[in-house]
Amino acid sequence: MNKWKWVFVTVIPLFLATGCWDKRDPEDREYMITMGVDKWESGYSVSFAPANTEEGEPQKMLCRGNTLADAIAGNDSRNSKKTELGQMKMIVFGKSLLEDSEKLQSFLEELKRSQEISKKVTVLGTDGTAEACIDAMLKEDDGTGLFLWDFYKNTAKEVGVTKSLDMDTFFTELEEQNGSCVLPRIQPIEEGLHLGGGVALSEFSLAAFFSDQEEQGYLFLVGEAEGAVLEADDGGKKIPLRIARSRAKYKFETEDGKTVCHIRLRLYGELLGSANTDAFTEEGAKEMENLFTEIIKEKVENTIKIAQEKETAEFLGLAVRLRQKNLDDSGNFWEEVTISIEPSLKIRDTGRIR
Amino acid sequence: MQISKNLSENMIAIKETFRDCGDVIMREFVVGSGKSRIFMIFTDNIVDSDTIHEFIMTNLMGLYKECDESGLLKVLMEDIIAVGEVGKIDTLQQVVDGVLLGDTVLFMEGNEFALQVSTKGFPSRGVSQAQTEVVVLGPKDAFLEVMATNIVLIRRRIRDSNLKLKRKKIGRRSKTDVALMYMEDLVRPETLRIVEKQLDRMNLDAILDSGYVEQLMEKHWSSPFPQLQMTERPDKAASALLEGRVVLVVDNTPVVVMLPVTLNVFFQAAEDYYDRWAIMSFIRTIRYIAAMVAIALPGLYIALSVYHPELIPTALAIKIAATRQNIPFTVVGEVVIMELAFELLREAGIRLPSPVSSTIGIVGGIIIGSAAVEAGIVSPTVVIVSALTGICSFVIPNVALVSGLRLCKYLAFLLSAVLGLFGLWVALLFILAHLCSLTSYGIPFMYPFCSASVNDDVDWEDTVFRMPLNKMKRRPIFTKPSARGRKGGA
Amino acid sequence: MFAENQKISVRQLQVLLLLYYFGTTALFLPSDAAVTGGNSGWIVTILWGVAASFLAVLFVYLGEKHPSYTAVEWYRRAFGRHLGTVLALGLGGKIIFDGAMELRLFCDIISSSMLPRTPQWLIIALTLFLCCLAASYGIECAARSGEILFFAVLIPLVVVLIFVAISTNYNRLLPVQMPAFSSLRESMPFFAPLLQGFMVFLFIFPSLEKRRHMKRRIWLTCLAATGLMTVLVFLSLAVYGTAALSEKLLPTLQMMERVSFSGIFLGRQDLFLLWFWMVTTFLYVTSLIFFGQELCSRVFQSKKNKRNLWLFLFIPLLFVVALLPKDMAEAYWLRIRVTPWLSGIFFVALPVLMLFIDTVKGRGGHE
Repeated sequence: MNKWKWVFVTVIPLFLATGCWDKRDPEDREYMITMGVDKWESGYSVSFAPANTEEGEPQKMLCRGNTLADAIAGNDSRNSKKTELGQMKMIVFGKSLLEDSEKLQSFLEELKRSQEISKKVTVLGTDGTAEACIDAMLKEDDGTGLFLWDFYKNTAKEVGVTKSLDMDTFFTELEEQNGSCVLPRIQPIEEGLHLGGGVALSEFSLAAFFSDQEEQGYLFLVGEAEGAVLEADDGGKKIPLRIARSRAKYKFETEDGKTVCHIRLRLYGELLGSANTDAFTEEGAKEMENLFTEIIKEKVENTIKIAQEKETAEFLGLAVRLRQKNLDDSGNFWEEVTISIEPSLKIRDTGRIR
Repeated sequence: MQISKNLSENMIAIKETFRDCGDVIMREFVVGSGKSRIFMIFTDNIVDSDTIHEFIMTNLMGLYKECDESGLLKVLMEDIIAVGEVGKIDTLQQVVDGVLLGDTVLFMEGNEFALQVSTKGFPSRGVSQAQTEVVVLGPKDAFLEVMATNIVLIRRRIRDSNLKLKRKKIGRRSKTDVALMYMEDLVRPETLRIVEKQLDRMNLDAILDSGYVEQLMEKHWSSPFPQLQMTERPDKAASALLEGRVVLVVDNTPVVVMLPVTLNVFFQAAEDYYDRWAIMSFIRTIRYIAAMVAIALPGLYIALSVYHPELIPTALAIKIAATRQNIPFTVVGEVVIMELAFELLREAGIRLPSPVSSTIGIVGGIIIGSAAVEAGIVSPTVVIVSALTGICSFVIPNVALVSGLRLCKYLAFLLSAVLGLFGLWVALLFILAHLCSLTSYGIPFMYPFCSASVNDDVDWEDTVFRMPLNKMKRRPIFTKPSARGRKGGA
Repeated sequence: MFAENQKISVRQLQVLLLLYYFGTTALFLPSDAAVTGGNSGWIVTILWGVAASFLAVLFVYLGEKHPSYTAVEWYRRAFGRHLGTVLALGLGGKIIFDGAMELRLFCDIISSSMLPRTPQWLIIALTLFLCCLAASYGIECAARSGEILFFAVLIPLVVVLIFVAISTNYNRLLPVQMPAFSSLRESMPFFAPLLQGFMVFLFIFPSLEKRRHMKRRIWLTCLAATGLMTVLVFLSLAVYGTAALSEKLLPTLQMMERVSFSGIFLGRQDLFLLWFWMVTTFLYVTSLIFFGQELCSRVFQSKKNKRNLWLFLFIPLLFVVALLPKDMAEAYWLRIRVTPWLSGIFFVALPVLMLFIDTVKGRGGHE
């Protein structure tokens, strides 16, 4: 028995010592922080912004392949370090890819199945090429995307012009909304990078680009407009208001044989300026509230118009809500449903002057 | 061999036995107006010379009264020898044992008994401070090599007649005195029985240190974890007795053995009970965290940086990669080098003479910490990991447990190096399973983290958190069930 | 002394039972519940969980009637020596199958998510070695480990679930729908593996001490486990909705990975969360190996001190059976197909039959 114990005790360490199959030292990995994906011929053009490891300026890595795995394998074959996607923070989809439904779906399938890429990665869209965004990011962001990611994680929900969308939520919305979703938009401009607006997808294909204002309308619709700054014009004077709290409630009712969707927006605002009205009185506050309520309603309606023009209510999240209430939904949302936007704004803070 | 009535025969036998023992002093003299011959024998330097000179020799020399043989024994015992402990012995072996123990033996002509007079006076250092169990608050005295003094240090703290002491001699050649101390009304009878049996069964040449006793009494001798506790502090020993544990005081050792033990006991320091419960609870929590760090940190570092960097925050992962540029060794190699270096420093620090040790410690730290990093041999992260691991191991109050944890650290490290986080988990579960399999005199080693319901979860009061003394109304599991209630707390 | 007597307490049994519920089945359960039950998957979970708890009470009742019996003695007493032995050996086969599948599924998950290039047989072998070592120490060791690991598993799990619950919108769960009978029937194979932990009832009674209020305690434990499972399914449905959830392979991990709060150190939690399943797999497979040893010792009446020799039978058998499925999908579907039959026979049919035989023949308590 003792002999077998010794055999056992010596054999195990021996064959364990031959192992370390998955071992790779940190300096042998190239951490990719941001990935940009564009359509290329029969496949994809993938550009990476690697992490800044203080060895010198990080250089954009460009690789091409029929699939993501193919592209990465190509990248690995040209580098001494292995492409490491575990620390990736952002993925940018270029316009060319967003316009090709089949290619986009195929790429998304690969992302879904991937064990390596975290599902907390922020996904973005752009109306140019993702490669240009990567170039701009390398110039503007010392962290090659880390600071931008931080913006989307923490600040985006406080500025009301864009929202953060992680990959997990992205896939969930695509699944629920028949391939429709609104991605946050990123745009390389002369001064650097513009973070604002949205990219609407419908049935896995590009439907529309939202400007900052249109995106704001969308955010009001989904109840995520905290931080949005609205401007009202009262007698030539610009009055700003910041939204402190934003909620949206949907109620579907049948009126005169038609379905009406009442969208009740409950908003709380902080007045940052006013006209000659004494905002500290009930009448003054009411006047301000009415002013801004109209602006909000207009914004939301403008955004809804875009969806109506595209003949889909999926990317606004309206169709899925209807389906939750009405399992017999035929799918022609705009024909069956009338929208009623009912914003209700309360100014809860007038600042330090009356 | 029995003592002969013929003094000359006894003298020849003793001289033969102690032939070439230059420190054994033998003296023959006559008392009682020259009528009675006495032969005195003792070992120089382990007797108290003053006792011999003042209370034996002086009184003997002053004995002018004539006595017959039997009368002489009685007179010596009752009138002449003014020492507290005097006994009759009748074999030469007892004579030899007594002389070597520091007693003085007196043979009388015509008597088949000899007198054994207690004159022990070992050279010893005075009661000093504890070296390995240093406290901020609380008594600073520590045990010595003299068993009698150690017993006194305990007796001073427990003035209760229930504190019993059984003496045993262990070791064929050393005949080392071992005192088995316990509180009769608190100790579990079955524990006491097992301990006595174990002590009686010990069969070896010599017990040179209580460590021998510990190793011979441990049930799971192959385990790296100690199953008996050692302490150099009398207050800890007294506290253990009051919990119903058994204390073994071994002669020639400044450390006593306490049993049974649980893992929790090794995280208790003496001063945990001398300061306020809130801060001490916090410090206890720190100790447990430190123990986990001491085992798992190097393995975790390897697992995360080499196998699963996606688990680390991005900024940290980039930092680690950046600092490792141009390092010639792999991460595993670096950790091995640093851990071994730390172990070398630790061992050197123990062995070095004290005037030099602090200097060497500082120089060693600078060489390993600074110069190696600047030379690009190791990365700073690994230095931090190794240093933190080492510091955490010093937070644990018990040296024996720390030794066990050090070995476990290498197991965790080895498995992490091969299989990443999965390997680390396997190592931790292996260690846990092993700890759960250990028992100490019938009590699970991991008590009260497991099986606490046996004592109505009372023992949780003194584990990670230490409840206020007035809330600790029951004694722990070591005490026999009928004696678990304390009156008035603690 | 209370240790070294190869006995565990009812509290330890409760802890083990609770942890057995959280085997690899819990990783797949939300998507299985979504596939079969749709939006009412969480109600389906409650129904099956409550049914299982009543089954557990039946086991306790039988065990209290014959406290020195294991399944071997039960079968022999109820069905005769020869048929009883055959059934006992069949139970041994179930032990090997359940243990091997659990081992395989867990090691597959580890392999695909953490160690893709490491040979799978090595991962299985190492896990098996660990479980065998713990089993060789006896059931006490597993019970004590479970009691300690309970804090390292259930409490963080509950904390994570609370965070998920706070940060989730529950619109996707509306409207609340009651499950159809067909959903219940279809979901049965997916919920059957939840009963895997009931193997403990077939062997544990001779090793239990102080069986006070046992029925109530076990019933409450099963309900608590059902509650946790239901919360898991409920939150998964709330976070992902039925459509997205049905697509996911390991939704439990992904859902818990979404938790994000300030101060969190880890970049990704999903791999770290696999620790929970490492613990439950370890405890479950260890216990199965121990029960297998007990079964063989009692069937072949070998001495107690030779119990560990049966490890030499179980290690190779478990290892080989674990390697039989070619991948995780095959192992998963094999378990889904086979477990309902095995559980149906050994956890439902036979105990009910034994109870019936006991009652009809008017046999009273054994002790």
